[in-house]
Amino acid sequence: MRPLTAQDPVSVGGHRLLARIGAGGMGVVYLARSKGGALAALKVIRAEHAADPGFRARFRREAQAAARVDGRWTAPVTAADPEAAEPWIATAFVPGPSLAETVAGYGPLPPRTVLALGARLAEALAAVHTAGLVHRDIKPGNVLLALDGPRLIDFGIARVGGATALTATDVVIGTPGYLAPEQARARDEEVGPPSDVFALGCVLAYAATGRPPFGGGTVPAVIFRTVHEEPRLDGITEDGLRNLVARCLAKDPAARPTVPELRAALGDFCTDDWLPPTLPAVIAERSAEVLRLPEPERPTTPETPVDEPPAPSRRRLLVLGGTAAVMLTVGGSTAAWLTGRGNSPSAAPSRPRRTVAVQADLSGSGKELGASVEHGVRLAVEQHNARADRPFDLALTVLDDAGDAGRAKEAARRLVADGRVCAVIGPTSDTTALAAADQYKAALLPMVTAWAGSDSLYAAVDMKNSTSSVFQLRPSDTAIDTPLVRYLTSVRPARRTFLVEDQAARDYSWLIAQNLAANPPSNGTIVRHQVAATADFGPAVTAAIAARAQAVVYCGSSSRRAASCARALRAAGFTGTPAATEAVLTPEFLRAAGPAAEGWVFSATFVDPSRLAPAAAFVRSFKKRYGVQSVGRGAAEGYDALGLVAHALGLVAHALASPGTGPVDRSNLTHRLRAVSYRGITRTFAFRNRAAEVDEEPGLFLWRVEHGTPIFLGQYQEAKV
Amino acid sequence: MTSERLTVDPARVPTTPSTALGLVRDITAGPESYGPGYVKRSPYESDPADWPVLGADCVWRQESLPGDVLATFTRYSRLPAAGAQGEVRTAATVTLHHTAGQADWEMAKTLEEALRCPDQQLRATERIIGLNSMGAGYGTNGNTSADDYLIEMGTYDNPALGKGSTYYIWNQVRLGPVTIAVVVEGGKGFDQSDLLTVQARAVAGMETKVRSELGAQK
Repeated sequence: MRPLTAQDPVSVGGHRLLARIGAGGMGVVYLARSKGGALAALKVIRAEHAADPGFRARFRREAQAAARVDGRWTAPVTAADPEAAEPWIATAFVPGPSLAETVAGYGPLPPRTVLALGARLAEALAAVHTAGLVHRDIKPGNVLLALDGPRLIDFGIARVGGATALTATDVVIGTPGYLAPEQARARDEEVGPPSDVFALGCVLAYAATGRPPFGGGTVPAVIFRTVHEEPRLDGITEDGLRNLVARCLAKDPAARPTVPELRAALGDFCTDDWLPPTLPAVIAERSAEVLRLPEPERPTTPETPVDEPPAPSRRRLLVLGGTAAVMLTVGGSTAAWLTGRGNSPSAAPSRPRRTVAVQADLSGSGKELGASVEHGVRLAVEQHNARADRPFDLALTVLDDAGDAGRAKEAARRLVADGRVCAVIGPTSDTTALAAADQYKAALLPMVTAWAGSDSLYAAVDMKNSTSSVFQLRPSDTAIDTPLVRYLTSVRPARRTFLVEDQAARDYSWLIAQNLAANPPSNGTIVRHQVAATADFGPAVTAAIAARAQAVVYCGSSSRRAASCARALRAAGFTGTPAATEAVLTPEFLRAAGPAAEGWVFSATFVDPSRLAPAAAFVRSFKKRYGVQSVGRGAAEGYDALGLVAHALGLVAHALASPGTGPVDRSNLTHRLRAVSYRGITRTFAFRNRAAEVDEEPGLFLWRVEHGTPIFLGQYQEAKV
Repeated sequence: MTSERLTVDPARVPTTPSTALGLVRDITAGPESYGPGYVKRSPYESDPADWPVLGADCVWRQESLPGDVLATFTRYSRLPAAGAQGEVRTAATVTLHHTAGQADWEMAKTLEEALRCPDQQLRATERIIGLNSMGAGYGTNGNTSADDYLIEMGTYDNPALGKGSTYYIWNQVRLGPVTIAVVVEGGKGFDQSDLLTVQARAVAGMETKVRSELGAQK
């Protein structure tokens, strides 16, 4: 959204123009107010295009057809003049947030809401098709949410050759991932109602999972996947919905359900209560605020915002911009301009919005952990935004780094470049955290991870960035031996401890063994035994038995090899305490070790929230929100990471309570985070002497395998056994 | 790793050259302190009577021990080259002064040396170029353990470690009258952060020993 320029008319067809929503090669879209006072989205075609007789004829035909569209779930055409020197068309302005912004800010919608959304959009499509139009551009940005249901906007008007005429260079190219294969191939003669069904399938998959089914990335890559590859729908948990979406996404248009078939398959819903509990308040509040938009004074002078613009204007950018491309290219200053900055005394106090990002492995080998982290953070964001006394709204943006160092760097580059992002939660592995850390440090953008243990993350002082914005919420690998020392000293004392150093993880093994050797359990003796990377553990176990070891610690990081060690110990009749660190505590270890896993003791930096009293409410909410039986590893820590960041953001906001005292910048937040002490559901977080080094003791835990299941024993100094 | 500032128990600080040498020998890190694969260099240990001095010409020379130093000791280690990763050379030096004030002067002089001589000649074929130094007293710049902390980084040219420049990182801390230094050289093909981690580990290990040997007991 931009202010009007000196070249813009004051009014068009009796509509007073308020702002520019977007502009493209074909013309300009304005926010306008009709004589009756209603807000409208008004598109004006440039005279040079209107001079093309073919174009004008098509515009006329489509405007007439659009005026016939009679659907409850569409935004009606309120006025049009195809014969004007610069033809224009106005549609009712819907003051709700778009589906794109809602999912980006509040997460995927529950299956029931997606089904209801789909049913209404199918009805909207039926109305569009009945009028003889094909929408051609169904995407989350063109679906607005109102309290009683969605509204499909921007239908079939002034598109040529499959592109939206007004912003031909922006819309279709700017939002790949929602085009049917026949559209993506630019075979216009094949584009018809089934193309809209395909796009609707993409929109429903996005609504249910937060990701378009053909992924993101470059336009050619997305188009390639759309045309040649199967969609990714495994994130849709409800079987019926997933199967229906899969049918909509058939490559062959003839194989897709018709709109009436689709509508019937989606079932019936009442209009009340179709949204999840947190959203109605958001929609109502924002709708009310945007309707209080002040009239702009012209000419406007550009001003610099002192803070991130309040949520309503930010949302307007998405809704009115119509395309992500437009939204991303307009600056914050215009949004601040749009709010009128309080010169309307009756305006309700609007909350600023703070954007927090999650960078996680959502598609690589660590995707289970990554998804859990994202879910934990998302729940915390939703709960924050549902609180009436919140000083600011939180928005969430999520980037998948696939666990890959290169993609982690790229993700960090993008998040650093996105000026809205105040803090990043993640990455979720050592590899990705180490790859991304330098960029976050250089930008002083807080990187908050509870899933990377490498001591390289903070041990090194960087001459260029002596102030580090890297926050490692878990104790590093250097401290991970501590719970084992306590267990083997106080819980089940071992005077003779045997360390198995697995050369398959040379550095990790060395670190664990070195620290245990420096602090021998029970002040007893330590024997260190090296096992070659490909060797079996028979000889090591024989040596351990010969040394009359009372504890054997596998110091490596491989679940499979630890299981092999466990089986060898069991076969040899070892009766002491077998132990290892969290690197090994995985389902794979339990599977591969079988009965030999029994009694293994683990030190870890993560909790089982179902066994922590302070986490009880979180566990209930999580299960309900995601329809799951248990909370995956990483979710509770993600929830706490967001809580910590939000707490620090609150302190920054409080410090800036008097107006005009300066922006909330990233270094400001970094310094806040260093000084903060935050009581989460998993532990209390504090950083030592304002360094980015977390207090270790509260974050070290013990686990033990009992009857084939890892049981969380609690914080290591308090673990009662 | 330790967050409390060390309080030295004066009664535990050696006062004779021989007990002082015993202490610094106990503290000085050997190859086991850096990581897996590290081995001794030859020669492995320094002559305790020697003391390196940076001349006005920016060339290092060995001189005899100055009067304010009770004892100093250095151990040399290395990680042999493997695959694409070049050899890493390390040296750990522990020095005990008569007083904390004298140790403080040693830190200050070290810091100044990099300003005075950003390019330094170590031995006939070894050269440090573009040295930067940064100091951090207790409680500043993330120094939450030592009384004083300094780090110097530059590039290191030594034909024995292959063509071209490699890393040179000097890290030195002071705890009361003791200074601890670890230098890391070479390491072609490593990330700088990996070498800093190795260095920090060795320094931290020696700090822990100083604390347990000289700290006031509770």
